Amino acid sequence: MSAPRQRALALAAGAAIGLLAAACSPASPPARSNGGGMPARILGGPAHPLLSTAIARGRDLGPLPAETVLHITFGLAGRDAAGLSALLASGRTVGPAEYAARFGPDPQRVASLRTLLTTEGVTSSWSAGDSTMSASGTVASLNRLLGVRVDRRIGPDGLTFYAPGTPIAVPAAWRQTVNAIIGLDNYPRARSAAIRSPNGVSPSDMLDFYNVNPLRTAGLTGAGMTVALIEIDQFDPAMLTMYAQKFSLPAFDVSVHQGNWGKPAAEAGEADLDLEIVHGIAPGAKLVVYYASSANYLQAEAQMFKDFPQGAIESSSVGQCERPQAQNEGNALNDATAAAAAQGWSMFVASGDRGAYDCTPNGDYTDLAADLDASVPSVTAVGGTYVFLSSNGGYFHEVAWGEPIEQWGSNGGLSIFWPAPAWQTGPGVKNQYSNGMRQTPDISANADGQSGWDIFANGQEEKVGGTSAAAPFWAAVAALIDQDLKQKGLPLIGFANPALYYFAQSPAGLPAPPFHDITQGTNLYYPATTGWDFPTGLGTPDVGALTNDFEWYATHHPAG
Amino acid sequence: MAVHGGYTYPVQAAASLPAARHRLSHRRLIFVAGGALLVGIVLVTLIAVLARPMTQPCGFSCGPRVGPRLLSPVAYHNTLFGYTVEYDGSQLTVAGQDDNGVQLQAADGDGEVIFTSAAGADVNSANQTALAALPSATFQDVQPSGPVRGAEIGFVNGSGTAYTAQFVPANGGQAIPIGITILSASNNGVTITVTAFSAKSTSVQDAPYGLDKASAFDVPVSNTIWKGQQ
Repeated sequence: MSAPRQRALALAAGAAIGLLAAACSPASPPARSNGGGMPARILGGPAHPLLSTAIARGRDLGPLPAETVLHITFGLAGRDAAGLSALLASGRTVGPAEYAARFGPDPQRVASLRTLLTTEGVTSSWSAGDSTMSASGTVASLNRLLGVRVDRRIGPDGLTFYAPGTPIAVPAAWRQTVNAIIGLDNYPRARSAAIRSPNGVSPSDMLDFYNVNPLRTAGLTGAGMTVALIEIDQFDPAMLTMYAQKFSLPAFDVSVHQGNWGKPAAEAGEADLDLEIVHGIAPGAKLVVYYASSANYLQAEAQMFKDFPQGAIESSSVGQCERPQAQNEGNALNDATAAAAAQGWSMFVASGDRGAYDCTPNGDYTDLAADLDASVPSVTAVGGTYVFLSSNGGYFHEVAWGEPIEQWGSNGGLSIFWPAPAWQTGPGVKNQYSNGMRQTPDISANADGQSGWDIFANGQEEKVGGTSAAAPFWAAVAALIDQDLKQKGLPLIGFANPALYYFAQSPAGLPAPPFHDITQGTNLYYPATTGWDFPTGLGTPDVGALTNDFEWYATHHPAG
Repeated sequence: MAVHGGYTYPVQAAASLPAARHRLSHRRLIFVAGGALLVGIVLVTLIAVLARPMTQPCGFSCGPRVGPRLLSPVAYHNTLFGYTVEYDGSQLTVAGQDDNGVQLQAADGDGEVIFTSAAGADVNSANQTALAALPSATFQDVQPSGPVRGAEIGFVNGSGTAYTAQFVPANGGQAIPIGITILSASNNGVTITVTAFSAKSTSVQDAPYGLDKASAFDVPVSNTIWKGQQ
């Protein structure tokens, strides 16, 4: 070791002695603080251990009272899965009636199931084509039907909840009809992460950076388009007003839907962030929020898809890590999103903020894991980057989001449930890590908290990042492009992935490359490389070029 | 210029034109001159259009404006090894610097991130040296807690290890649990080592390494600009 380096560290330790000692004194406790420029993180809901961990390490408080009514959801098996996959890969869509007739659950089987439920006093609601069926019944009746005992419990972190002792198994006699049963517990599942620190980028910064300005200059605002959002924490209208005023945007007009799928947590910043980013980029888009509890957000999402049978744009910044115990939820999510994609929905889902390790911090830190909500093959998984603005207000550079000390970063990885879809092909897709399964993310955008967005939430102005910010950005971009396509009499984007991956293959005649290929940085495990990669997918958008490409796709590609 | 046989255009000698034919009225002269100017403009315009590189139509745009990097207002520059460390001046302040590096302190005093540098490319040795340099009287019970996943400095891959330790104040006060990360990366014969430590956070949000100030420390680590980089 050289003398100068030794001297530097000695100086550091010397300085630290006094500083940390002061921090430990009663007058200046070492607790986290927002003062002095200290960045803090916010979550769209408290972080808890995985359900299985909470059950194993918690206490059983006895059975839930037999007369307690539970609202549950059945995931229903569809028909012609191969045909549906081919449809999605082609980029084509079908109407609700055609979907119900060709791909929806078998009505006769569903009718038989409903008859059985009725005999046990369980009410149900289902329409032809729905991939889910909601049902309500007492604990006693569900116990008789499913053979489960639902107990009240307290987790190791003090959270009280109810849940069966073991994951619910679909009775063998139902397996041709039912592939998931959810709602037998109220344990928080979804989490939404947003990372905050002072002084963020403005909407106009990002309009310039990602070349959205030509669309806005052309008068496109997303008018006539709907962006729907699942939120598990509440937004504060006063914060939205302050945001609109600061950035000279029209006032917000948000429709809120709430059903029997639980209530959202108090404001944590995620809903504010999502709405403000969409509005900052596409201020004319209609905003529709579906409030849900962390435990039951899948039910809210199913209802959202039903409410817009002709399709809309979803921005989702909630998720949970993929792990074997989540197969039940995965099945329901996969069926619902596949049905939505087939009927014209564009779904942009945050890939997660824990780098390649999505189960951090709730599960095992060392396991590589993708995100359950982002890995289903019918959504567009949105990862994150760290953006470097240029001094003249434009684009300079981007790298994959990965913070080695904080251990945050763009989630991306290999699904443990879903085989690679036919459309997921192109430069970089097959690489040394590939194993034939679905790979995430598909695309990305600014997410690092260091280059986060200037928003209003939690009673203050703050800088917030996370793939939670990248997903609503892409949803807003889709609203602008859809408006352009609609004005020109062209089909809307719908399920975006077949077109996005087609663009990445630089087909002859493509007007312009639509992506910034991110080739630097890692997501704490996988490196960013030329072409598709696990931290950033295909890359970030040049929105002007992307719009031209979608116009061209609509008129030149057979699926257009 | 080489002369080849074959077709050539006939050239009429200027001298063959009668001089009187050049005499035009003032009005006619203006008209002809204006016409010539117009033809010239059209020709120049045509040439300019035809000489443009042939590209696809851009529609909305040919792409975003790309410019030089927006630099942070606060930066440390190491003249010996030619690298720069940008940081957020509201979160970190300089507690010390010398030819080999800089010591940045959290604004509320709860921790530091120290950049040191040396010639060479052995990042593992650099990490061991940095660990050994922690004064044993102050940093007690140092225990490794795992490799630093995604260790990189200025987006150059490296390696590192996270530790837990007890920080014993010089005044003999109560020991404080802390988290430490040490990571190094090497580029073009220069190795930079980052030693970061702060009070141990118990929040799962700070998992797995548990440095209370991790977010602030990542800013200069990401914003290290190596010699020769932009």
